Amino acid sequence: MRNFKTFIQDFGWPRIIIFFFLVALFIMAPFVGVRLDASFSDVLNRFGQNAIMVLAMVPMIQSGCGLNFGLALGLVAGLLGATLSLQLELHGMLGFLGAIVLATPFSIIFGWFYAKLLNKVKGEEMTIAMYVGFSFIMFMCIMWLILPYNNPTMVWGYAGKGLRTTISVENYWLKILNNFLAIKIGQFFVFPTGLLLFVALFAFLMWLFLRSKTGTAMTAVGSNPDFARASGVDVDKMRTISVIISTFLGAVGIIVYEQSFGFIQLYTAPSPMVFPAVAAILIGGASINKASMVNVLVGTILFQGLLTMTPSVINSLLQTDMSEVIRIIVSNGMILYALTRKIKVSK
Amino acid sequence: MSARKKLSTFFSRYAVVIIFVIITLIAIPPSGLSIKYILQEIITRLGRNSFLVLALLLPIYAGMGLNFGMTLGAMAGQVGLIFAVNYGISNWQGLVFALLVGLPISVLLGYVCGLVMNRAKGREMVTGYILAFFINGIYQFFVMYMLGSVIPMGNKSIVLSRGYGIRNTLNLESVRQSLDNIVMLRVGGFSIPLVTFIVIALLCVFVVWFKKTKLGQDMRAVGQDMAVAEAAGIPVEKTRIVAIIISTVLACAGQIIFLQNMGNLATYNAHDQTGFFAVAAILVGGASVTHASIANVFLGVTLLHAMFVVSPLAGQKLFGSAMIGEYFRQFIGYGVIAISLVLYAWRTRKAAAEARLSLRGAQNGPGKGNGKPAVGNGGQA
Amino acid sequence: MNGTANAKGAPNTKTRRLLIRGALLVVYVLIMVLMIYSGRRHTILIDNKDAADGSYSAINGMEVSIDKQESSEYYPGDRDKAMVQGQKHTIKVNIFDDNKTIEKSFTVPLWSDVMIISVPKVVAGIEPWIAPFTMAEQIQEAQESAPPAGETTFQSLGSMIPEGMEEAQQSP
Repeated sequence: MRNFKTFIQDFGWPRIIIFFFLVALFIMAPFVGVRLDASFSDVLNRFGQNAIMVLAMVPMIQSGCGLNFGLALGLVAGLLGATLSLQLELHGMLGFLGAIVLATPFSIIFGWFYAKLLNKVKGEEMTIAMYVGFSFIMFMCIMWLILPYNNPTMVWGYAGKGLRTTISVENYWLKILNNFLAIKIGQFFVFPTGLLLFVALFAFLMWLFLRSKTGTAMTAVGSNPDFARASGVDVDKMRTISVIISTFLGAVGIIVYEQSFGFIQLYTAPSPMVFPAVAAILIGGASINKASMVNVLVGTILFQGLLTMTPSVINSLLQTDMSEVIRIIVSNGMILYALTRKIKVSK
Repeated sequence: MSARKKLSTFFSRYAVVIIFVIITLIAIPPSGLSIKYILQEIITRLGRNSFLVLALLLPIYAGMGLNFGMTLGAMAGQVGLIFAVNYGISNWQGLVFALLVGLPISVLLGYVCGLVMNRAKGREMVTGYILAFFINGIYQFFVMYMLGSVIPMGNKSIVLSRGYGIRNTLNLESVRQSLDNIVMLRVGGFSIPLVTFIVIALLCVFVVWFKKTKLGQDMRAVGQDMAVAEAAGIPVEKTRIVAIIISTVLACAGQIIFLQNMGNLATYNAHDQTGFFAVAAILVGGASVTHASIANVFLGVTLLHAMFVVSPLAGQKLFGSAMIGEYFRQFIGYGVIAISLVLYAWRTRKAAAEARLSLRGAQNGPGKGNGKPAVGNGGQA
Repeated sequence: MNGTANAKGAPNTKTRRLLIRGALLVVYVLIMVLMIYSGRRHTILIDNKDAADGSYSAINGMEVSIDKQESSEYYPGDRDKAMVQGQKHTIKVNIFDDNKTIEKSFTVPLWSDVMIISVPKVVAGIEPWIAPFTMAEQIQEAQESAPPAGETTFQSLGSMIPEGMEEAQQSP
């Protein structure tokens, strides 16, 4: 009984409620005419789409930088890579990997500056990260308009310059991961093998990294900076590494998202993508100073499951689309819950 | 303190103000707007926005940073206005009615906000920001599903055609500029909404008076140091809650003033940017996370909105695209908040480091000029 | 409003505090009611048409004003509207033919949105010359005589000004 109680406390009521809510949705689905196999397929797909962006939260949480509300910087680096790959007319797997390779230098540069900034403002990272992210998105809005892209699929037809708000990747690398070794069962169920393998690869690399010498030093910095400094760890350097990795993962995450979604969305599109990633890892059981691979996995499945199932099930049940409201309340409620929880300080 | 150091502190403190004045001055000629037009716009926008920005002052005094949770009050004000329009109450009476409806809601929301922030000490800003999003979800639920179904709406023309929920845009024609137009002074070609400014002036008087009361003094003490205040017998948590409640209530009134001037209400997203604009304004005016004055509010609204008026047209002329100007002003708005927060966090850390160093310096060499070594050490740190 | 819970508070001060709070609440509600009464807006339709049964006929030409609002001219078949705030109002009719002026006061029920005044009835002294005007009647009339749609629609549809924080419509 005691064990169970501590388990509940650790896991937190909101997550349990969300879990049972999701289970209830799945149970109800067949009764309101929603196909279960299609739903499962959808959830898996969306899990793969979003998991790497959620994974991007892990390094910064571990190194004590808090929730990465500035993930937008990584997303923008990814967008730069994706648009450049289209500009260079890279097709297929080459185009997809090319986008990641092209995004890498940007993500490292952005991440480095971002880390420099965050190291100057320890303790205030989250608010500042949020506004740095917003202002950077706005800055890039101007850039998207004036950068000299000229691939006709990307720029506005009549002006011949300035990127479109949404760019289709259909002729380049649409669903390149989703369709890789995909297993089709029946008419509605598709298992996106390639996508999930890719996600698993990154999760495994992250898991390895956290167990490496650098990774453990980084975790030490997060859990007790004074102790870490005393034992000769360069705190700022560890934080810098974590921020760069997070930014890089953000870049990879959005490219993976785009290949599955089918469109590159520019301008203000990245800003609403940050909060769901933050909410997902928190739903998975992470706190603002501790996160693991399990949190990423559970959180993304729960959150994306909720996003997939509420519109279809609730709509058929109540004949109204309440999914947007539910999404707002759940995701922000979850972040709020994490922010207000008393942190167990290990001093 | 050498003169050079003074100068550098001056620049670092007023960096944002100076940058803003320069940007705006540069942008005025290409925008092609007359000074008279810009001045009239600023007068209008001072009347429209000042009240909202003033709502930020008390939480800053109480050491809770920039109250991004003020959006809660704005939502309460909007609910009030929806009811005023629904019952067909027009003119300033409609505004008073909206305020009376919004008041209890904003007190309740402010109380909740205070409780939540007390659980997240040291992270008030980001918590307030997320709380605003969270309550936004509840607001959407209330306005989109409850109004017209659970709570009957008599005025069918403001309800969506499906029978419940409020239309996306609410025409506030019945209360449009009713506060501004009670007495509209016309001086030298300028229209000045006198009553709006009197209301704003009264709020300023209230803030000045409030700072002198026992509660106001307690608030300052809590803002200085919570532990010390607690030791001195000040109910810290309660004082913080009161600060947030007052701020939320003021934001409610401020949003009503804002919307009566705008003349229509985007039901589901009018409040989205309220906190952003108010916070950007007070920061542009030279306030910081811990220090703000009434002067900061007015200077900030003037500067921020001067740039907002000028930038789209300047962007059009300079780059051939109005969108660039639009993005630019948003970039500047967010950038200003980011820079102010960074400068503040950086200054606090520097001050802490200097305090440490000067303490050490005083122990090492008493009697010697302790100004100079401190500067030297500061450079190394 | 939320005074500190005072432990030493004698029952006397307690009841007094309760009374004050109750009084404040009453005042609060009172102001609210007052605002409803004084701020409630009504649309008054001013109608100059023949009766269906021929009991009265439209005025040949007149000037009508409600309260101190600007007056406007009416000819047979005309209908226009005036917005009024509050419940007690006066109507002033000046008939061109014999230059006669009639002034009458009327009361609008608090929760009625639209009232219709038939001026020929006012002039002929037929009671009641003011009646509530409902949506159904409006639609019926619209089908019968198709009055100018722009004048008798009461929808507060969103105006055509672009939405957004900064694009305020400036009053002249």
